[in-house]
Amino acid sequence: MSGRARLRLAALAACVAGVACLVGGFAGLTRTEVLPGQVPYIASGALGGLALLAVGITWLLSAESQSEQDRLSAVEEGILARGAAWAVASQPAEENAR
Amino acid sequence: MSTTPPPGGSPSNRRAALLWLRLRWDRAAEGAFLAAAALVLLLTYRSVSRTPFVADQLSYLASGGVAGLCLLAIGLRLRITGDLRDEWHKLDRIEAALHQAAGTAGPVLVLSEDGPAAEAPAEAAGAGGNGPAREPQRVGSQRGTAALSVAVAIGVTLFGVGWWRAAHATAVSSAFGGFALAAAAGVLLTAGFCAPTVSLRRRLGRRQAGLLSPFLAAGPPEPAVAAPSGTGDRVLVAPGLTRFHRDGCPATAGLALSWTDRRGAASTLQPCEICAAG
Repeated sequence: MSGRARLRLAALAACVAGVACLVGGFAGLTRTEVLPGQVPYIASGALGGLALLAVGITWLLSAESQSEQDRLSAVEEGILARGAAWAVASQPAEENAR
Repeated sequence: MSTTPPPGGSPSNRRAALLWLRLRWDRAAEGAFLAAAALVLLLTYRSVSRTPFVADQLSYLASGGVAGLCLLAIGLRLRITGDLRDEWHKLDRIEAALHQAAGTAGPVLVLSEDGPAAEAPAEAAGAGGNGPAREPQRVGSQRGTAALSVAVAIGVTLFGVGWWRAAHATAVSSAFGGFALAAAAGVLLTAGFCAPTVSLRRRLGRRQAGLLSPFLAAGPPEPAVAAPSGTGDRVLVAPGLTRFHRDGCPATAGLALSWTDRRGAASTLQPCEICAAG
């Protein structure tokens, strides 16, 4: 598995874990009737879920950016190859001019 | 460039690790910030769950919770800006390749800062033909830095006031007020950290469009390559390329192309990601 595929997988896992944290935190919060018992669910479920979601989304964006860089590498290669083709094509004309 | 750190151990590995750290400091810093954020959030949860007083719990949330999320935002911002910087440097290399291609023969491309490039006579680029030397471009702007500084100053002040109010509150309502202030400061700090990346992303898109669209439009006419019958399993290749392409791929403009069997090409070449030849 390539590094980018691993990054995408980790990002998806973080997103799923984040949603699970939020849902779990909400479930725990609704089951608890006293306020001091509810706050720890906010500290774990809400904060943890938001943090994991943020990490997952950022990693997904990062994987997309790496794909874009690969496309740009292909463009660079195409430009260099076209420059080489131009150079080869112009050689006979230059020799005739001499 | 690899994004994974090399394993430690022998001196050569240590040198490689130091080199990686120097080149990819943003990735290392991102990891450090994410680890610090996870630790702070874990300690916050531990502290909150160990006290039965709501006012104390809110003061822990106002300090550790908000600070942990801010550390996370800084770490994630480092990753995004690192990716954008890599793309920017890739565009630098493409621009250099364009100058190199323009110096050999064919139409000369005059490259503007952000706007579209235009074709110009060969004399306009000078006798050398390698194009004008470009000043290194600075990623980020002074205006963005000033806005970030102001947002950070206001955010840190609000955060301090909010935490102080929550920590010294005797009533739950007062602790809630302090926590709300600290949370607002956290939102402001996070927005301040992340907003410049949006502007940077936009500039990158403009530069990419300006740089590549004329290249794809200009250039010599494509050589007529007769497509053999049943080209479903046939792809185009050219000497010197490391990728194979579909018919009409813009990356192959001006190249001497030849058809070949896809299976044979795939054994030695990579599929082009522009025309999705894979």
